[in-house]
Amino acid sequence: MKDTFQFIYGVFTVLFALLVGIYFAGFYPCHLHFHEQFQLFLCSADYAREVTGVPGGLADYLARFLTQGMRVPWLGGVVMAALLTAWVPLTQKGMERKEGEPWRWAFGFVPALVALAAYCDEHVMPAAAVSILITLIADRGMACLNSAPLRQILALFVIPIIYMAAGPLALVYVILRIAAERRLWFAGLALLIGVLCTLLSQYVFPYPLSHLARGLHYYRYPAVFPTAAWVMAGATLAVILAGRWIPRLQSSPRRWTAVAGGTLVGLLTVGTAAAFCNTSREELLAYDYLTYRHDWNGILRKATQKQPDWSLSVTSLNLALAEAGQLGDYQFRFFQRSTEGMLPAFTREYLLPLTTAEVFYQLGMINTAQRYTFEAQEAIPDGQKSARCYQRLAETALINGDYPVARKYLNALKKTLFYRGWAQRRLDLIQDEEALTRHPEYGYLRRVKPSEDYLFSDQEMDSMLGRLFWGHKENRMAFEYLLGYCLLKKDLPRFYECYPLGKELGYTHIPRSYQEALLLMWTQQHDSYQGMPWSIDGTNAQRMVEFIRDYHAQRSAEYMKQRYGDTYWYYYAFE
Amino acid sequence: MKMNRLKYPCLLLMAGSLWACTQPVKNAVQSADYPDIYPDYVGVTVPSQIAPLNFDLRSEEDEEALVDVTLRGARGGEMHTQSRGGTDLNESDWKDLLRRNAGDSLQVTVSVKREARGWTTYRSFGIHIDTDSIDPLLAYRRIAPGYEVYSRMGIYERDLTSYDERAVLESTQVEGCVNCHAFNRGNPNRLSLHIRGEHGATLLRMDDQMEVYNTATPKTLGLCVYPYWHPEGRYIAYSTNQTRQGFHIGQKKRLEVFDLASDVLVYDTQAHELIVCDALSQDSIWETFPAFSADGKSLYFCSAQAQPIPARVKEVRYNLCRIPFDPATGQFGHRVDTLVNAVSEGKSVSFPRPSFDGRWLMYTLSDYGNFSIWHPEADLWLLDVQSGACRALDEVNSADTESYHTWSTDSRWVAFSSRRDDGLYTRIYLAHMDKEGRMTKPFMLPQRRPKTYYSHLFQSYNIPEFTTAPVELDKVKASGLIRGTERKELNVRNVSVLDKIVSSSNE
Repeated sequence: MKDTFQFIYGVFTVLFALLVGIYFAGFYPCHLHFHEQFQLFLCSADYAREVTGVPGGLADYLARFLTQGMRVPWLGGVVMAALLTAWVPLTQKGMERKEGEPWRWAFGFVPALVALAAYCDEHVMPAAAVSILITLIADRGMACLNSAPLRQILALFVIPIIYMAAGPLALVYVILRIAAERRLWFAGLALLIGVLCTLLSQYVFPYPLSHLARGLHYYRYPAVFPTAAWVMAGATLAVILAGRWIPRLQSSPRRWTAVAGGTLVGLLTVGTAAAFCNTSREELLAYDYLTYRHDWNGILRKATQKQPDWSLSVTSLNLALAEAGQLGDYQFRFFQRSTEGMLPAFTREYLLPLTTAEVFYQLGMINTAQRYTFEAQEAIPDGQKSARCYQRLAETALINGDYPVARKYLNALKKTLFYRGWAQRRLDLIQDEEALTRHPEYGYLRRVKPSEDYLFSDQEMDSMLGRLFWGHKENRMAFEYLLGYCLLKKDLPRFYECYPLGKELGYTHIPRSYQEALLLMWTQQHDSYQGMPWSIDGTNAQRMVEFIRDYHAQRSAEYMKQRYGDTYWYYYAFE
Repeated sequence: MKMNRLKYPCLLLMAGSLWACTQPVKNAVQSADYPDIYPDYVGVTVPSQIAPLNFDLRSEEDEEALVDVTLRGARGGEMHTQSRGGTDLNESDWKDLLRRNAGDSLQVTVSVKREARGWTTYRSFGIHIDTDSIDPLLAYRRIAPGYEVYSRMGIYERDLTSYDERAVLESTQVEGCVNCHAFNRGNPNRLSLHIRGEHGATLLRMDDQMEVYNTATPKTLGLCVYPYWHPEGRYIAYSTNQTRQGFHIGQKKRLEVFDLASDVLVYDTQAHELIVCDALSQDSIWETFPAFSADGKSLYFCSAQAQPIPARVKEVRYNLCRIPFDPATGQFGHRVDTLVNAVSEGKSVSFPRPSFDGRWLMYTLSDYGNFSIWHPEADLWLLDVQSGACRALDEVNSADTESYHTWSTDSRWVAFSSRRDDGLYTRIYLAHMDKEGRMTKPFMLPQRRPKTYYSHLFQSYNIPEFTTAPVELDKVKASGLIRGTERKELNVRNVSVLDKIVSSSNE
């Protein structure tokens, strides 16, 4: 009978792990990428010493190690499944569950389900879960000791160690031990040691007491109280303590109740994931991830399924269109967010500047890409470095010929698990100047990067793009960004001025957006198409006539959007 | 049983013997070249208290090569070390050797065993040990060489006699950027420290007292930065700058920092007032980087003709000027001397730092602007205060940026930052200056494993300042004060001398 129950519980625990793994790997992988991209885990003793040397440091170190796996979706799913599933037996053991009690068994999943909900927020750090697991393991370890005096003394003695390993969430351990020992002197001493650890740590570690007391590594933003971590801890404590004190059912459990308990867990897992899943955030992060991977077709596929509307996603889309040679034709088939959806102004944060940096990089504005990347990395709220940023900083230094600096970043990346091969290939390139010049990406960017020096000005982006193209007329992307930028600014005279620059670029037809802009300009000054010097597609010319007619008829905005939402005219008149 | 009891001590002994065992340098090929070591310590001059100058072979291929080093003192004593990739000098042996040979030199012989080639013995080089002592500590800021955004950074203090470094104050403690730190002639109890960001303030430590100020007033341009203490400790000269940044599109320079306006003013710590002199706060002139002379009777500063920014940013050039100052009254004199007319040479002066013996003044010279740290052409220059002659310090300059610099309290040692290592991350170099103003070849701040340390360090050092004792700052109190909302406001006292001013050029 006992085996049967164990089998049923085992099956449902595996099912829980599978559901969690599939959810994160299949439906939420970009949240995991996000974690991975904004850290730089180095396999070195110095790094280990640095990370573990503060309260909660061991948990943070282990979490950072696990986070590396989130680069690969299935591995990220495994990591999350392992973290959350490990919670379950620890909670159930803490409840001192009598074997075969299905409802108590199912109740033991609650903290893991709370954690599942919490980790739908990409800023809740894996270190929070690891910290709680450390406290639970420590508690279980203590529970194994039979000699009460030895256990109690040891339990007090290890509080500072657990505080150093897990940070202030060591409180979970303290409370569980107090509840287990049920001695007033023990409770008083345990709380005193816990409070002293926190108070004294402000004199040892370079953080204010408020930060040390709420935890340094539980949330990405140190200035924000890590509510999710403390809710996870509270849920764990509540479930364990309630599980211990709720009276046991007298009747013997039946198999169906075990299956029903397991099914309930499964349903709650799916329900929690569905309820807390932030799909719009996942979509935004997906654009960032696809941009990082240079998966331009992926971006176009995604945009075709659902129009992007955030600065970051629209910027990614415009970049993908340019890379696919479709910017001139299809830019206004998609929603456009002014110039902020093409070359967003610099903001002191770490996500959007990286996408913008990618645009500047692909354009050949290497120094600007370098600056945006550097600043993005510095803006990572918890002060971590980023492997992704190191990659780009190494590349920009490589293109600029700053080999000592490139080597510095690459040597750091060589100390990682997932980037060492990439770094070694670039280090080999440094040794071979000719190979670097021939390199399809770096060689090309070296050729097209600005040869003259002037100061960056986001107020004069069109001038900078013009100078960029004028300096290297093979840089078709610079030309298309220049015209696209003028169109987004609704600066038709500037567009008209720059349009002839593309004469030598080998276009087989005038791209559709340009045709629409030219038609718009022409019709603003002429009553008919007679004498129009450009070979405009007849359908476009006819649609322009219809647009003007409907516009003057003051048709509703909804009607105009439905009919002309894919044209530059609509953007010009209504966006 | 007996055997078992002896097993572990024997194993330990064997391991110890193996550890202690060194390979003899046999059949070595003699090379006429100096060894290619990092940092370059060939022919440097060091103080006798300095931490061991450990070095590594520069080439990555030599990381596993066996390095045999013998150091022989001209006055006796010898040290020998053998390890992989570089040296691992024993601190106590090193100190004994330096003490014994102070005023003379060490002869360093490096032999390298590479698997494929066997031993090579390189040309020996000397390390001169000067008898002039150096202050025991050096404070500096470490920060990523970024643009506008900053991550974790702080003010740190390095014990020059060992490798110990400890934090004075870090950004995580104050949730802001800590910068512009200045001690009064190496006195760690007199500290002015500026904090930028949400909790922006100026922290002033006067012996046992610690207070935070809001140095911006309605009558001045903004917050007070670039502090310099008066030798008597009553006054602190600051500049107040409306600073902006520009970013180069071309490759050689990354960043341009320039002012839209700037003035120099003096804070009277006793009267709690800012002394604003009209001669140092003219609209058409930008004054910045103040520094009191060694006797405290004059104030050096950099001065440029205002230009339209950013259009003519490359035409902003600063001269080095001096105005008399009366510490008894806090009054300025009526004569402004131009000590270095860099503008006429198409150059620009920044960071003037007079030696504490009053004999010299070191400054940075670049093509334009005042934030020379981002100018690869920036070099250190020396002004002879007595004769007015100035010269480039070719002994210490490199092809890359030399910028922030500071004097030891006895004016015999100089610490400065340079980007020569990799072109981006500034490192600290130390060099000796004799009474005639001649400098020795600079050496990089020693580290236990220099190659590993510096290659892993993704921060720049800036604003080095010698201190004579450790900075005992109550960090918890400082953090509380800075993160709190209370700020002492400052009064402003206007001093007018402009209508009486006599300008002269001392070229």
